[in-house]
Amino acid sequence: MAGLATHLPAYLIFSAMLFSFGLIAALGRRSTIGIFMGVELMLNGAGLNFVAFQTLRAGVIANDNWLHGHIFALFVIILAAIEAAVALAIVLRTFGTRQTIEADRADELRG
Amino acid sequence: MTLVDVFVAFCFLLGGVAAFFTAFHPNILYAAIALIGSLVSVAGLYGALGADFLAAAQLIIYVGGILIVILFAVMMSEDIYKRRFFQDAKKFVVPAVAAAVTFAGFAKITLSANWSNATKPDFEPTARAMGWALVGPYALVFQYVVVVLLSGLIGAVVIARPAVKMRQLDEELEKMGED
Amino acid sequence: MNEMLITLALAIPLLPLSAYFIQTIVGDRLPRQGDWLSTGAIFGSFLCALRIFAEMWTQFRPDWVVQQSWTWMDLSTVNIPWKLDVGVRLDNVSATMLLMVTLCATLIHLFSTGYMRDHHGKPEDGYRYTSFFSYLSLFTAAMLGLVISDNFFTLFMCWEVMGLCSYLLIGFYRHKPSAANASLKAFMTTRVGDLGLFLGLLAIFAIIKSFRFDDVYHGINSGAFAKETIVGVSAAFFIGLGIFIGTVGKSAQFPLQIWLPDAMEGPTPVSALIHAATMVSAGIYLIIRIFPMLEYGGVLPIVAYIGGFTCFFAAILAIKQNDIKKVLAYSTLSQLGYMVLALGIGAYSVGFFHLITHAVFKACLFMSSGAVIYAMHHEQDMRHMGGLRKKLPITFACMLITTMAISGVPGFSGFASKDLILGHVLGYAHLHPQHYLLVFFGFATAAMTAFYMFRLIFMTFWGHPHDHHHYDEAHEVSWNMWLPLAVLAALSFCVVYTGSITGLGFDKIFGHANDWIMSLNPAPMVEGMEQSREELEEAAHHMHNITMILSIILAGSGILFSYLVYGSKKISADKLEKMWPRFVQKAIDNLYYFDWFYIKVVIQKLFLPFSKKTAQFDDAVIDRVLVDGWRDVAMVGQKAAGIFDDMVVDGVMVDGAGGALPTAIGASLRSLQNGKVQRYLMVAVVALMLLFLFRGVV
Repeated sequence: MAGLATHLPAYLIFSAMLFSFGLIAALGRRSTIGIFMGVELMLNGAGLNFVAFQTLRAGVIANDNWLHGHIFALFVIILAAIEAAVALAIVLRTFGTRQTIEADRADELRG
Repeated sequence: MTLVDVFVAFCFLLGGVAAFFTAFHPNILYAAIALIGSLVSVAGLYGALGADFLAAAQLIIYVGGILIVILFAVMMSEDIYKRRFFQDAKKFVVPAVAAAVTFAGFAKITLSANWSNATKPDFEPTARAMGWALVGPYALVFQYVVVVLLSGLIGAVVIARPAVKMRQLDEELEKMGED
Repeated sequence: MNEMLITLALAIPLLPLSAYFIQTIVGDRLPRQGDWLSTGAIFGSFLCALRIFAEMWTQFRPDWVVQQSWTWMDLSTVNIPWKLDVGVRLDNVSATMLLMVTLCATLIHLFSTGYMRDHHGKPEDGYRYTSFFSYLSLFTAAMLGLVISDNFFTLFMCWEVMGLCSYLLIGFYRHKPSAANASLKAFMTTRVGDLGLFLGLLAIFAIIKSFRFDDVYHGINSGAFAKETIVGVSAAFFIGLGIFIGTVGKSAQFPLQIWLPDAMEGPTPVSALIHAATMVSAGIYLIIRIFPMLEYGGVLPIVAYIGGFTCFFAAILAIKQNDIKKVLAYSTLSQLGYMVLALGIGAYSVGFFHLITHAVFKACLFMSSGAVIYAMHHEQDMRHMGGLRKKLPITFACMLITTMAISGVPGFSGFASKDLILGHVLGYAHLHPQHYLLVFFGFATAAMTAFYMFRLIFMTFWGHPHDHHHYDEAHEVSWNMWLPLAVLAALSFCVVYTGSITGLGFDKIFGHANDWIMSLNPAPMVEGMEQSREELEEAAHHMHNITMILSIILAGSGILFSYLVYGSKKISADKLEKMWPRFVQKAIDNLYYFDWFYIKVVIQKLFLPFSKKTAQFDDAVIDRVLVDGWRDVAMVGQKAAGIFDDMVVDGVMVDGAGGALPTAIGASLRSLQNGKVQRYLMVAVVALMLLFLFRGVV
């Protein structure tokens, strides 16, 4: 376990794992909130990826000190906040009109 | 093996277990609480990677803000408590397979690459550098995010409140014209 | 020294801004619900502005400027030559404006503590005393931020905040539908103007990559705008026109003037602060700042005609009004038209002069009308007033002084500035005889102004009371309401601005500082325009005496006529009214059909059908074709495959196997589109897996 903190593949595998669990939740959960939680997990996996690359491979990626990875992770967080606001609004609305938040029931757009 | 390594290992473990429960726990309330665990562990990893500002932002915005919203939404719809795992166990089969394949793909890419020329990280406070980046090279992106945030909030308000009928608007204009 | 001035300049908007935040958060719990906080903050700003003005006065030179700017955004680090600098600029124009705005705002805050006393109470019971003061503070902060800006970017930001405050304050009596509608109308109408301003500013940035005033002036003189064209016209013309449209919206010029009279639904201190003294002046201030571009781009004649027409037709409307605040609203329109007219003929310093004098006496007029309304228990109709001069002596004295100022009686500030405007208009028409219409607008308005303002005085303060119930209860207002009136009335004398007691140009008493506004604020240099400016000055100088005589005669006859009709009632007002042609009367009663035109034609005939059409397009085309269409595509595919099946497979190959395939394709395509969000996500994941597969990863 020596040097785990600076071992890039460990972070990448972990973020892939977060992404995969998020995918399962997003695809398998019945409720809208469950799907939304899965999406949050996936976003977190991606954000962690950015930061890990920035810290451990910065000199290889770009020759400046602008912290590109951190900025992108920050944008991910901000966009997740927006998403949370909109998602809550949608949940409220669906719950108000249908008395359920199951995603399967909202299928008016089916072909 | 340093203290940081132990901390990182702990974060991996916590995050993995919590993510598992987030995906599979039958009661969505517990799943949401497990999500807190994985988000906190990601914040810890940000800290271990020297991203102090991001770690704080993750804790404040994600754990403090977004999760409250999620928990609020969970609590609002009470039939959530009744839903059990085995009722939709079947629904998890295909996603689990898909996720496993995806994970395998990512893992294979990661492990087959050559990471030997990794740089040694240097840890400095990042808030100042990020601030400069936000008004420097990322100024336009930042403004764009600001606009997206604003429109997202307005959109949320519009979605959440009852729709205004077009006919009603017509009538009001009619009245204004008569005055 | 300069650093101290910059610090003071930054403190000026920040004081009211912090007052706004404190008021918003804890205002209700403060003693007296925090009105002293807003008033004290703006008084602090006034002291800062006084210090800056003193510095300007000791320097006393036309090119005095102190500025400092900071980099906000810098994209040059990624090889894009965009750099956004914002900063503070103090020069003679902004120092004078700062003093005027902070003085008016301080006095109006003080006045409001009396006028809004009825709204004192807990917010739970629906009283909104604290919010009123917090909005006033926010508005003042935005106006002061606009004045100290050294660039169009922060100017635009403050401009929009003022629009918001205007909306909030006009609709302050929100239980009244008319107030709610008026606030919406003001907001939407000024939005139209802001679009023009926005386009103009974007064009400036696109060409010179900066918003700073200095860079714009430098760009004009170095020919940066010479070769550029936008949508077929020269860039300078496009920018000038766009920014002028912003002024048309904010300063309520023709044809976007409809919102200002309705804005009188707000409380009277708001009308005094926003819709007379400061916010509408921001539009004029914007023309002053962009003046070189207007001159260079050849927009000035348009500006002059819009201003001249507005001042003329608004004066006609003011004659017919019976609501005391509406008279003042239309007179504001008319006086703003004067300023625009002055700037339009190239008389830069004259326009600025009138801006300052008008702000002072109009603030006083509005507050006096507020005092009258307050004393009459919120009765605004002048026909129910009368004889109030015995009941409200101080208010009467202040209002009389300022009315004489606005009418152009010698010795008062309005005489000096209006006389200069008329002189320049006459000189301009002398140089360009095709523009004699402007002279008519200017002089006719001068006579009408005197007439309708004295009509207001006579109807309100002379004669016999028409409503004895209110009259008996009326009494002089408290000190915090008449003190502001007295201060502003004292500042409505000519001597403050020109150093001459009569305003006729004799007996100077300030020494070298006589006519300080005129001599301190020459127009910014524009190459190639020196000659025409000198010619105008010379022509105006020649016309000085005849203008003075003419304007005194016109104002005098206006006042006399007004006395005959409304003072001594020698001439019947009803008979006079019947002399107007019927269609003119009808047009005036309907405010020239502007509201009718905007609502019936522009909105109902143009915008609503358009938005309905787009909604239909969304339904008919997007939904049916693009969304439902996939089903049709699948069906067509199925059918085509079916025909293929019938003709080729059945004909050539054996039955069965060939028939099942198209059905399977159709069914699988259809199941992709089942309307469930997770299925769509699944498709994306499958695509990702396919990508892995093809890249040979798994």
